[in-house]
Amino acid sequence: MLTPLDRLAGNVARRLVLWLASRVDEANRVWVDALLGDLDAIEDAGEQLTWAIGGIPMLWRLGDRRTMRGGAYQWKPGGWNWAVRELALDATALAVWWCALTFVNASLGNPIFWRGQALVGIACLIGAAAAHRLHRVGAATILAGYFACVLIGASAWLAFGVEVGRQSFGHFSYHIAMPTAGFLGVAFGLADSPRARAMWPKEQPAVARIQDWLSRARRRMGMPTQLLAAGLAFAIPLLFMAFVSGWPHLGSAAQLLAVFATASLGTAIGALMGSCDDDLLGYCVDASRVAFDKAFKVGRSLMWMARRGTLRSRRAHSAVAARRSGFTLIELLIVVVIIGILAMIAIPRFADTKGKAYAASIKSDLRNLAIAEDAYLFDHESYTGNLSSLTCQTSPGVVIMITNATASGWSATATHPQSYPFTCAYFVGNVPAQAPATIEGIIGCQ
Amino acid sequence: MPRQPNSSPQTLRVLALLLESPREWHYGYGISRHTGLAAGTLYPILARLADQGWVETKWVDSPEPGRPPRHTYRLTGEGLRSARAQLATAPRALQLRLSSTGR
Repeated sequence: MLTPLDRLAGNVARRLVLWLASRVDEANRVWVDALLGDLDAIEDAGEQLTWAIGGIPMLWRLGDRRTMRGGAYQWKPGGWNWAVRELALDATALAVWWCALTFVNASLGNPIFWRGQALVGIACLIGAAAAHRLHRVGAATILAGYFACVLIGASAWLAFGVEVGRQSFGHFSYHIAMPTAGFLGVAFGLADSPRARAMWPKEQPAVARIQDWLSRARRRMGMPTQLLAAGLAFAIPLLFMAFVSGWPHLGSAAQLLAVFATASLGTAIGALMGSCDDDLLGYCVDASRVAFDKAFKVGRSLMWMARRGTLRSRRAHSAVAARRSGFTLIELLIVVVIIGILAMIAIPRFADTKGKAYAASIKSDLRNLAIAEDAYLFDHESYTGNLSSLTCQTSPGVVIMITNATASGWSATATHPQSYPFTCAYFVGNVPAQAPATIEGIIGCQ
Repeated sequence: MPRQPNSSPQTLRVLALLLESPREWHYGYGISRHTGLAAGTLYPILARLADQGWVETKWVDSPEPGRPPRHTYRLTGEGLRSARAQLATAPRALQLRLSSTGR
């Protein structure tokens, strides 16, 4: 019996194949027909859909067939397939990278980073794209990418550094250093990849020399040394910048560590990306196909469970489990990217939780103060402006100031340096209103 | 370093499967199930092998009316020879993996 989900899946699968057929050229149409022939022979609708989704990489893999040139396979550039793959690779690089930056920054609790997030992301995009173009275009593009990173880093500083009221050169160099370090790391890592070797224009002697030098350097060093070298290479200029700018914020070990880690991560990612001989997007599609397959099976089980109160298809579930035992690197990277995006959304929401907790302790202290003042009035027939004469304990860090105290009323403000909102006030009786409180007897905060 | 043609692990898996029963016609979906390759990887490999004359293809009418014909594949004489040579020279680790999983 077909569930609505089955019908939907079968329908989508067929539409997908038709779409594929419309996108490949005439000579390759036969292979999409072959895909369709097999699709109709599959019984299970979910399987049909995963089969069709798995066929998407045909778009570019059939589009530019590898050609034999001088005994080696080379990618044949040109056409929109080529452009799409390039773009996909850049986008993947960006995503991985952005994520790395997010994690490094989040783990260091850098408050400015969250504000500059989007701009740093764009800087990364340019860095990753330029690093990728390096394969074919050469040093001029690297420099252009670098300056673009610097420019965006500077804008990030101007837009966000000033806004938070901490105008320091440290943040400026920080915004430059992070994207730059990662960008150059990726470029360095990619330089010796099989893709790079195949694509680099050998006919330019200067480019060939740089490539040879990078290849030799990378081969001689080995991965751990490379990571260390990349980190150091960026930590040293950073130290210099910090020295020139008079050590404002940059002297902190945490920021140095961040730049160091970004450069190292960039190199690792670049080397990993470079060692992928095939297209990354293809792997992403394959991985999402598997994920979709699982989601579909779970969804259908739930639907059956809802319909007849039993869980069906245990067999189908174990078949999936048997086919896949473990995760590929790319799958893990995708998971990391998704977690990064979630963290990006979630962390700013929870960022001021601590501040709110302090604000709560301020309010609680003000309420205690009110009780103590009432007790004092009962004993002395007047309120008091002297906090030490009250039996009232304040929470650590909270500063209470009684601003007005007469026989007929009193008012007070309370603050905490890390609180959000920063100040609360309370007033009662025949005294002027104490901002930010506006209503007598109710605590107001700002 | 120049790469040998048709020496990627994915291509070797397809070749190994076709070599198991060289005279039979194989369906794309069947090959995919046995090799664990997705359609988007498998068909370009088959396309390349067919271009190079390693694999021959044939359309077979579906036994059930109203369904589209199916494309089937088997090794040519040249493909048989080349595939055997290719698998023999493949790295030892890859050969073990191909034989241990029955792929």
